[in-house]
Amino acid sequence: MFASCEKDIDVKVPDYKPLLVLNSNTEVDDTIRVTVGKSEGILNYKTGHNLSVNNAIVQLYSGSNLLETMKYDSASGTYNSKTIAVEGEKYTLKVNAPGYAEASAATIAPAFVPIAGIQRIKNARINQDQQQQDELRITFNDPPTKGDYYIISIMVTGIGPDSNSNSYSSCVNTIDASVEGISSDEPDQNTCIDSRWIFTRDDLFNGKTKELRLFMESYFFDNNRAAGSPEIVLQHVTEDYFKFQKTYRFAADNNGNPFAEPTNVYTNIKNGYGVFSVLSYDVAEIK
Amino acid sequence: MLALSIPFTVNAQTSSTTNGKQIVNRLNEVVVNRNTTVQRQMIENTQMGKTEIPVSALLKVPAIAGEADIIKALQLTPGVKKGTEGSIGMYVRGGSNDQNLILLDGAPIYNAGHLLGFFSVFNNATLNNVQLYKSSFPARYGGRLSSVLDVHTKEASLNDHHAQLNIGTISSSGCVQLPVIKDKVSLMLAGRRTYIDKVMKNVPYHFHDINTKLFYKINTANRLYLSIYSGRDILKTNNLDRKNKEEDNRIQTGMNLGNNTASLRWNHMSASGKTVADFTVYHSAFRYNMSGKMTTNQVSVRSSIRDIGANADFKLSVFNKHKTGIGISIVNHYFNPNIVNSNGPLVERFGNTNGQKIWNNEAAVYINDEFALTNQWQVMAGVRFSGTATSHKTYINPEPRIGLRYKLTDNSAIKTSYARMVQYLHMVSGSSVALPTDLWYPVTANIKPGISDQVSAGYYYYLQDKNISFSAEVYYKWLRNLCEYKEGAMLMLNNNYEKELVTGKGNSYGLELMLSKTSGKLTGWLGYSLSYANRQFDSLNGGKKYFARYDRRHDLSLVLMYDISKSWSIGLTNTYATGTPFTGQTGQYIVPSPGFTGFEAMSAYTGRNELRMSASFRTDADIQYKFNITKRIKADAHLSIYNIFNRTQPYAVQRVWDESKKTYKYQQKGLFGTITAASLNINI
Repeated sequence: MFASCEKDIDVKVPDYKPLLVLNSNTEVDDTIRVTVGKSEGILNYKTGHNLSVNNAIVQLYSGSNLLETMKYDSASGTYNSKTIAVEGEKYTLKVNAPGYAEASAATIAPAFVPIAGIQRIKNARINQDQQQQDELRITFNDPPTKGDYYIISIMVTGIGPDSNSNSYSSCVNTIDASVEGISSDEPDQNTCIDSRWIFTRDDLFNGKTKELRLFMESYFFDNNRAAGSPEIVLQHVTEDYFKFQKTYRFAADNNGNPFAEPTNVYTNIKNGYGVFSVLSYDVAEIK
Repeated sequence: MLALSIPFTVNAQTSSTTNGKQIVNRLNEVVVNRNTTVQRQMIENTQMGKTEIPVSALLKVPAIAGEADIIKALQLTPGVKKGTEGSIGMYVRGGSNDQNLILLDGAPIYNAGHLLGFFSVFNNATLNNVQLYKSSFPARYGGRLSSVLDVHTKEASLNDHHAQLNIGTISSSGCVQLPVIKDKVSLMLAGRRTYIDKVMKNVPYHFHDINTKLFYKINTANRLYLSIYSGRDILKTNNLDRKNKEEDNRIQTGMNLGNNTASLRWNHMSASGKTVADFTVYHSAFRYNMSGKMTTNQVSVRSSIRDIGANADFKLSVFNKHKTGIGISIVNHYFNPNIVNSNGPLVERFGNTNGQKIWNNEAAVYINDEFALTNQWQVMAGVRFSGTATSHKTYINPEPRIGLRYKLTDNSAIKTSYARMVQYLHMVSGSSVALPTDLWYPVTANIKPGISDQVSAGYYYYLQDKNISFSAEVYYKWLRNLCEYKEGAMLMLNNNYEKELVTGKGNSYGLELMLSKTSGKLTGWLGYSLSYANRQFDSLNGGKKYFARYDRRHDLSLVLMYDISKSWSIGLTNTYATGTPFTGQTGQYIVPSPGFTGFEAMSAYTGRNELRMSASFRTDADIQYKFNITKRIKADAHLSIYNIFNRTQPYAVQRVWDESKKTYKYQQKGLFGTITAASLNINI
């Protein structure tokens, strides 16, 4: 009575034109380096394809002045420069590779924003799961200009933006209206925010001393002592990197979720994917 | 916008289930020959965008598994897009499914589907009259943006017994009509139940409906109608762990959802017959409860919505050439989403909550007048003032309704109309799938009422001696304050729904053509619509405009019914529809992990709804044989073939790995192939 009803689709998928993929998130006072890759059409995908590009011409500009052509390092797979990123400087990247449209992006290195203070209040509250939580009060001074973006990480090991592979993290709760969730812009006091990715911007505290109040379960600070000291990383990032990371986290969280509408990861690369940015960061130990 | 009468032929069976006396209290309608009357009204009055399906015609339209369904029949008319293949979702003129006001004897139905929306809650055996409005809405209707589906059940005869039994492949239904007190009180009692669970023991699911209608003729001027409906979808599994056979390892899952409605209407006609008043009070509730249990783990999630309302409607013909309607309505909405009960270790994950309890009051007053300026010009003007009060804000909206008809000849007319509709509650579906668990939300201080403004114009032609009619209508609709879930929203177990919604706007426009023949051996219609439906939300799709979920560019339906002889007839349906849009992955790339410790693959997608599934084309047939079992007992047997050519009716697209070619490909899945089914209707 019921016949077969499945067949390969006849969908007009537009011809896919591969683009260059640039990724660079250099720290202030470090040399600028870039990975160059390529995208490929999903219907042309073959296992084992090498998606890196090692024959690109990568040019770094300060404003409109060419600083240098970056050199490919086969050991690291990156294009490296001798230019050290300086806060407040504008850098432009232009990348050309045979068969691809020129990809370009620009960024301004954000200023160093130090952590002004950390206060830990033990057993400050009990959360909805009846677990004791400590309160963390983190203060920093937001620069007077508008449009500052921050990503805060609280981890036990693997400190710093360059390493989080062996880190321990936990849930963070907050009632701070300036903290943005990945999937929800206004997390409430019960929303579990990954302590590695706490997003905030200065819309509500521009030019002021910001005290960020966060709650974490007490055991996180004490039970992981053997692995290392819990630390806070305050990253002052560009708007582009902020958006890239939020959408990247969102895509990763919703991979395979049939209820989620698929969305593209943000990019500031013209004619390409990825992100080109510079960040500054400060680290402090939580006592 | 099409004023459409779907053809039907009154026969012994259908006339036995239609009581013409019951309808005389409907002003402006003369039930002499319903075909002719409806067709003639298409020329004579200002109403546009009205589709009326006689139930007898419905029974002849081929249907999936032989289960004729009023909403699926409506999907064959221009301007009504189907949702997922085989489902009863209605997307009217670019609107979404929650923008349809569905009334059953005056009470709203909040979830009109059974079996995940593959069957409607309407038992054909109970239906008397079905009207769908797509534009030019009479001022007495409001509360939804895109359409009104007004369904009335039968009132039993006051002096005669009737019974009807429909035996189908998936479900069977029965309807009994009997006078309780001759010439005073009659009762219609009907039921329907599926028997999948009885035939296939591993599918412990069924749905059922019970309809009751009590009719009390107090005197010639006063009538009382009590209509009660109850329907349920029930799934209950109880799987024993085969390995250790221990009672504690039993996995139990359950789903119980359904509507309950009740309406009481007092109909009064003045001695002069120039005033008709209807006073209605109603109750409507939709609830769902999903539960799961294994050993000491147990969780259940419940949600409900409930309305208690009252309407007073007056139809006046006291002024010469004027037909006036005035009325008032008030309704109290109660929402209680996401009630969670859990125990055992699941408490930690789900917790226990009574959910939010929200009450909203909504009220409206209206006045509407239709009058003839000259023999050629007819005008309808009306306004509805509606409003609702939330805890922090009160909304009041005027909803003007205007219609104009110019008669070109005795058989042709042109019309134009404008209507505003306001909707004070939203139902938001998950992005990729529509479930009965989709929740209704009331407006709040932050979530504003949805507003639609629709202009339409049309040409109508009616060849009375051949009973052939033609209409062509164009429309443009603006939609404001539409709601969608934000990207990554928590769909369930969320007590602060406002945070998960974003608002945007939309528009739709199109052309609808309809050619129908309503008498003779060959009857049927040809309908075509060219339509565009767009959405724009600042926080979705990068703020760019995108196609609505069920935007289909072309829709063509050919429905033919041919009486071969007095006993034999055949029905044939052909439909063609452009594929629905979807968001697809077109590329991928890799991004270094922070610290360049590895790489992660990222997907590159098209914009929202930028790709389309392939078009669907389907041919269905129904062969009917009418015969007499006895002099009083008549029957008609149906053999229906759904999707004769076994063409895939696309409903979903997946990107899958092709092992032979070592690459990805898109695969389109269809729900139903050819389905042959038999059914038998017996009328006593």
